[in-house]
Amino acid sequence: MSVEITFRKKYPNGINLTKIYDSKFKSFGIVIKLIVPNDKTKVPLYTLALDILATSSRKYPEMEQLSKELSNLYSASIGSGASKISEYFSLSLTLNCICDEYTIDNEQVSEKATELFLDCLLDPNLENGVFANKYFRLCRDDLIDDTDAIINNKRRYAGILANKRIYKGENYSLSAFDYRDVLKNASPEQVTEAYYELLKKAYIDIFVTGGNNDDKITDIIISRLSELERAPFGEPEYDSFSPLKTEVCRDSETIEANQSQLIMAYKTDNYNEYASKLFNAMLGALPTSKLFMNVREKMSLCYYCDAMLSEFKGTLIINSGLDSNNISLAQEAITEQLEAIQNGDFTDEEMDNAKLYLSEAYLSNYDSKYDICTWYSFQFSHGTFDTPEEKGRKIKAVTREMLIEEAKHYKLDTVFVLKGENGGNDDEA
Amino acid sequence: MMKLEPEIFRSELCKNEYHLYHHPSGLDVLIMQLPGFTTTEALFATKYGSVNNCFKTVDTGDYIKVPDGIAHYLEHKLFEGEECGVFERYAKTGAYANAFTSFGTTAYTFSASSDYKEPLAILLDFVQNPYITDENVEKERGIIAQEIKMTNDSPVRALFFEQLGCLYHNHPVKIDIAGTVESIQDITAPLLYKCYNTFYNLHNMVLSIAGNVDDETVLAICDKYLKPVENKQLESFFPEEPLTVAKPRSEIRRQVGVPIFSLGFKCPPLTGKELQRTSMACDLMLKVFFGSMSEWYKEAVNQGIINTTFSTEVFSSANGYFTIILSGEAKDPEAAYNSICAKLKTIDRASFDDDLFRTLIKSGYGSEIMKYNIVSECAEFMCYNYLSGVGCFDNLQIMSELTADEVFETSKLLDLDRSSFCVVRN
Repeated sequence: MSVEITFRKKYPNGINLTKIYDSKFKSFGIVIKLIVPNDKTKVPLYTLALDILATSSRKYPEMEQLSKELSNLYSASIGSGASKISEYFSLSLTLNCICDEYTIDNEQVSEKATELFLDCLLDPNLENGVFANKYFRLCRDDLIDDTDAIINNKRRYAGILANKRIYKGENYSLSAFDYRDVLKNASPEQVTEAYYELLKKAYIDIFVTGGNNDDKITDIIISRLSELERAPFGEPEYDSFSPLKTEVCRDSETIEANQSQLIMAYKTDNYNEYASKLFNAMLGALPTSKLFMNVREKMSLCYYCDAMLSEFKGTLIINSGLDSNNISLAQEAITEQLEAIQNGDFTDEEMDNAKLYLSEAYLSNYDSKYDICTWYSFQFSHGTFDTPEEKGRKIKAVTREMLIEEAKHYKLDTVFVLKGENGGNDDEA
Repeated sequence: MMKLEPEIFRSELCKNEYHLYHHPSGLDVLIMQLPGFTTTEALFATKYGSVNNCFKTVDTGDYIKVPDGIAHYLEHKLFEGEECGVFERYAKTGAYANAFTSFGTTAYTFSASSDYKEPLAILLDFVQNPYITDENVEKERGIIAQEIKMTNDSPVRALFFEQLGCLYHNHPVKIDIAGTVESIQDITAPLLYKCYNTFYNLHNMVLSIAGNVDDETVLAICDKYLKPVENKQLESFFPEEPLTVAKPRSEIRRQVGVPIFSLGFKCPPLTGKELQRTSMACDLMLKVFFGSMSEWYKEAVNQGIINTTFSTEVFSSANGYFTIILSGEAKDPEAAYNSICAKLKTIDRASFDDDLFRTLIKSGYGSEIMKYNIVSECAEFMCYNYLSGVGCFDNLQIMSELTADEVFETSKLLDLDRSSFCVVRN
């Protein structure tokens, strides 16, 4: 492979920097991940702070000034993101920028874009020591609107409602809906305070990835971040398996929609990464999986019936969109297919094909500068350093017996139905 | 087999090239080698989508009309096989296979890592050898009905089709790609074969492949699997479409978090390079007047009239439609409409920000170059441009030629008399 991890360095102040260079890319990215415990009262403020940082800086205090400057750097972009990782929350600020050799007349833009990006993170647009009210309001209202708009996507909405039940009592059950009130009542002062706290306390993982191999980029990052006064949380421990309920939770809600959403969650107390991934793939993550071939293709009950593994939680979640009157039938069919694998009712060919699919899919991470970042970020969070090839070999080493044993440990924990009613399309002229 | 000579397209700016081969079978083959990349992405596509619902060939005689959603239904049915399904064949290779149907295209795709030869052979083979029976057509009805219901539950999609329905009186672009639960009831195996035999003719198709490939291997597989066919002189029929809109206003009801609005402008249809150039100019004009760096956007966001979901789009094709759409969320959609209308009244050449235009050109150039970072985008981009009758690198050329005057001229297409305003709310 042409990709190489040029280096990964752990700095004593809880900052890690990984450089993944690959000459085939015409652009490079800098991803700064700030990882914090998923605290319901803090996370929404951190998220809002990151969003504000992506709009402006002291040097470019107006959003359109920053946008224009980035556009002049050949469509460079700065974005913020937020996602749950187990009981933690990962907040990220990302720069995407063209490599200098692809600009007109080899205009040098990389260093300029890097400085501009770090200005957004470290030298924000403050008024009297707090975030400018204009962007505070804009970003807060956007976040609230985004939360309200989740209902537009029924599958996502159902997933959030199901997680409330599946991970009851765990921080992993928290969603944007839980953060809404904190956001609504937040002040610029609180968010500014949260911003400084984030820079001080977060575990920071930085990735420089793509086609730029200039050491100046990493030097600038290290130099600028070394200015920070740091007192970080300890290194995150991500594995936090969700306990199986003593009694299966069965619950439902209704929504105005044409289709109902069925979600079934299974949990294990004996997680083996490779056997679980193979089980998940054979059950419902491939177009030749048990669920696809039977619940969709043979029974014609749905368009999708997928299985997804929540790795840090040891939880396998199946979801499907279907007619309300078919919910019981689908539940039975899903149970039957899961039990088929637990009982060893699959061919060696099915298992070998799934292994091949997974190992080939791992290799595709090399072709995206961000996917390879995510790959290694995940490895580091597990304390491993496996390449996609190595991971593929480990998947291929799973035996039939290991797979059956792994499958048997998955027990039903939650069944949630978001029942569609009234079609939701009584249109009027 | 005789050695084929390719037409070579190269861009010194992005340092990429691709080759177009006119294969003797009638199929055009596009190949982009991407050194250093691991994966290969292929699309085997036909110029057949939801808008092609009335057509004729030398075999059919007069035009025939088929049920809405049949192109999409056919896409599903091509994954059947007599001995085993297509997904099962791919499963032995580790490749990921998929397909999609749009307004004007149906494409079958795969993405492979270690080896693309067997997946390519499967792709060429299964698309040319349909296995459609009454039984498997019946089985698919429930699956597609659920797909239709799933998409109907998306308010954004509902708004998009409401917008098209308001803009177009007769053009089939206003019909949902998958049809309706009712329209798919009329689809039968003989009808699917009729559509297959009409549109899945190699003269009406293209193979686009990019990534870790070499021309010789791709062409050898093509030689082995492509079956030469006679050109059937296919013609699609599009009904007469006036420039007036069908309905200037509409409101539909869905459960939404924040109301969504869409203001669409109906423009005269174009084809080929003129379509590509005007679409690009129009897109730049929209960014100058309504984009995130425009004065209007800044004011509208600051006043809370729109939020950052607001976007502009040029939705056009050589199949007879060209529309400009401004859409987004707004707590008061009427206020958003009034704000856009007020802005439109002030637009003149003096208000066109030439400096912003130059910035956008530079930004557009960067975006174009960065497309060639992604294997799937390269394959899709070659395919899409070929089907639109233009080249992959033409965008870069056009961008270097466009002037502020030419871009400003396209603002004349923002004619409120040819517009329609649609809203989705609770």
